[in-house]
Amino acid sequence: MSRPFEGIRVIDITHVLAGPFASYQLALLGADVIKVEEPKDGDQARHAGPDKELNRRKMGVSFLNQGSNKRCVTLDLKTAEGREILRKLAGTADVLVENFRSGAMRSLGLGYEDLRKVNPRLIYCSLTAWGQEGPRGEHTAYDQVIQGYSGVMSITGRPDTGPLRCGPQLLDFGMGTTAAFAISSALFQRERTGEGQYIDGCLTDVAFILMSAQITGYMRTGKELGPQTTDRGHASHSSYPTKDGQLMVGASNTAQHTRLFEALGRPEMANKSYEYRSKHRDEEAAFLREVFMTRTADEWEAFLQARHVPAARVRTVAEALHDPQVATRAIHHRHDSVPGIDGPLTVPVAAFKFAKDGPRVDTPPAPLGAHNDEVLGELGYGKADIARLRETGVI
Amino acid sequence: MTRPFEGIKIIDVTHVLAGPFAAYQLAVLGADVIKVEHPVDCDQSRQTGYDRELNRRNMGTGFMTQGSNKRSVTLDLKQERGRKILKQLVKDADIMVENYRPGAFPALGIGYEDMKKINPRLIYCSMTAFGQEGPRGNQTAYDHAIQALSGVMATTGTPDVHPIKIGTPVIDYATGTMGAFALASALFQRERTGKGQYIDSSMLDVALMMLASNITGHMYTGKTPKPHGNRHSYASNSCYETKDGLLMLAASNQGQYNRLYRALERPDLGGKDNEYREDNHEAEAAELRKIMAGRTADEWENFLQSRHVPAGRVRKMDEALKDPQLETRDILHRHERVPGTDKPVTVPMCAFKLEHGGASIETPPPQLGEHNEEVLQRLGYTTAEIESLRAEGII
Repeated sequence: MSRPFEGIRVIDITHVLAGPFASYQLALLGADVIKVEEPKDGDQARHAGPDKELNRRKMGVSFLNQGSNKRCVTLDLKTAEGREILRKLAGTADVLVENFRSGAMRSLGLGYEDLRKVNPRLIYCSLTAWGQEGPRGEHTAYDQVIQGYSGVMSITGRPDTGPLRCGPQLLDFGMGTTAAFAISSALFQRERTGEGQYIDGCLTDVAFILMSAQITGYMRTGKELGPQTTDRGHASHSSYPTKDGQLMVGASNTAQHTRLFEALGRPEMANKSYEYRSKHRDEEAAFLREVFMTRTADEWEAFLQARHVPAARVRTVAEALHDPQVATRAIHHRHDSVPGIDGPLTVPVAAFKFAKDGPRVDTPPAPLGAHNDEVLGELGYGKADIARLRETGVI
Repeated sequence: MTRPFEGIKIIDVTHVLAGPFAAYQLAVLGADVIKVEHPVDCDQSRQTGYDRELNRRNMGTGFMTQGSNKRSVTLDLKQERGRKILKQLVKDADIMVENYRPGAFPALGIGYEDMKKINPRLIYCSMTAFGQEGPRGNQTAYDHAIQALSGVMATTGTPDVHPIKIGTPVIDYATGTMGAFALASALFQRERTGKGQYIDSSMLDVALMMLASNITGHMYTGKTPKPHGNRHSYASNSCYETKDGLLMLAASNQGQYNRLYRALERPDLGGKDNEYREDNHEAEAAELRKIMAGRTADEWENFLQSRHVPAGRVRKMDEALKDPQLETRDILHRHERVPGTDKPVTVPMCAFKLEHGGASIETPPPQLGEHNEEVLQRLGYTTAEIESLRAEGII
């Protein structure tokens, strides 16, 4: 057996987060990902992250995060020779991913229409903020701008805080995952059609997909949404303070609702319809507020989970990482040594396991241009050529 | 051209959100998805949503959001004959997806090991809260409980007001998208290996994946991520009050940052390196607060976007849905008529466009058991047999 994308070559001309995360997911599943960066500074993610010394070395945590299993080459695409090398690389590839402003690659002669002439089987994926066309097609944004634009912020927060940015970069990760799905779908499609494909993905679409349920509801009822705080909805599906912290309870379906109130010794409150529960939210919530104050959040979590009632203490990221459950998942990989940085480095892998030949980290994140000689050598460039390209700043 | 998954048959035994959304993504890309539900205790999402009348009819917007392009069959899997029909369905399927508690399906004789004997090419995907094994393997949760347990909530909010739940069920959608990616990867893998696959996916994994940048940083530096509200470490990358609302500013990289201050005619504030920007955040933010209060959010958005500085007014979801940009995307599909409902229903479809053979919707969300006859007849059941299955509550 082999991993899904072994033998598949991906040219990754993306920066920051969404694009690099998409190619990272393919790399973990066996793809040969060649990351192409501008020679001087490279991907801006190399300069970002909490460890300033690493940022100075162009090995910032934001890059390391999704840098494993990739080879790194540098190319100045503003030079004719740099573009020529990229065209050659595209000729050897199955997939190309880019996340520049809409139209930027086209104006360099490196758009889909240009590169499909070089390689008709190429799957070319463009990731932008608002898509390739339309009045905002050439506008630029990051995760947080689209969180603001799309309404994601408007439904996050409380009346006293106003709209809040979500802690995780959920649109970037959502976009990266969506792009990985789109690319793998197109690869599968190519098995049957033999033809390449163009994928136009954008952060705004992802934001709307993440609000699908709210959108379908709004389009149907016309009801505007305010902040979706946890003191809305059913009382048994809310969060409560306990003796020592916050507890999130998720007794959502009728069976869980029944188990919750039976476990709390109040069978007469159990087994009510969804509509009844909406109507009597306040009295259910009043009882639950009182009862949850009598024990700690950990005690409640153990008590309720043992009775198959979804519940969890609200934790910090650090606490969550130390939960013994995490050790049973394949979510993290520890690099004991990474060239260019000191000490071990732990990076996230993938959010699923395969029974066999699934996601795996093989090589650590590489310094800027670390694979120039190797990759250009594969394209037939000799040592003297490569030295000249380096001298003239093309690579 | 054909869509990627035409000819691919999926048996979808999932409920609520993440599982149904994964199957939906494959359905809009051409897969034949047969949704299997209990005849009485059906998918709880059929009774959830903003329109109570629809909830009563088992056509809640919670279900309809990801119900298009699927066929609906009812089966009581606690009865031997119900399980027999499921196995008949799986025999010539490509994929089966389920999201029950770990061990529940193996206990019924319909786990992966059972199904792979019937169909060795089957890709079987289990989606759970915490994965198939480990100390929490038997526990249950929903989106908000995983937001609580993973640290997603702890990183959302302001330094004073936190933890805050993200307004969308982001973990559900991200798990669905990740599941769709895992399935597409396994289908592509099967093209080469000819073998089926088992996928063990979990919501906790997905939440930790979304926190990946925070986690890599934490594991390397030991610093715990904190909620920062709408403040980013760079002042030019934060949220400001304008004359009439919030503006999200994202002049993040050096080019954007310098363009911002040139456009604002304050070159004295630009030209600093990233470390300086972090260390002098407050002085820069104070200047930006004064400047941004001088115009409306829309004026700033136009002004800055036309100068290639990422920025966006913070909108409500319904405002964003009315933005003309949306007409250039394929994200929404309007069903003029859905049997069982009485008004048009608009649903989100897919967060990317393909050049050819992309996502499309053909059929509306089905009523519970709408396709029982059609599917069972195809398996060779006679009208009389179907009647008896119905009478005994098996379908």
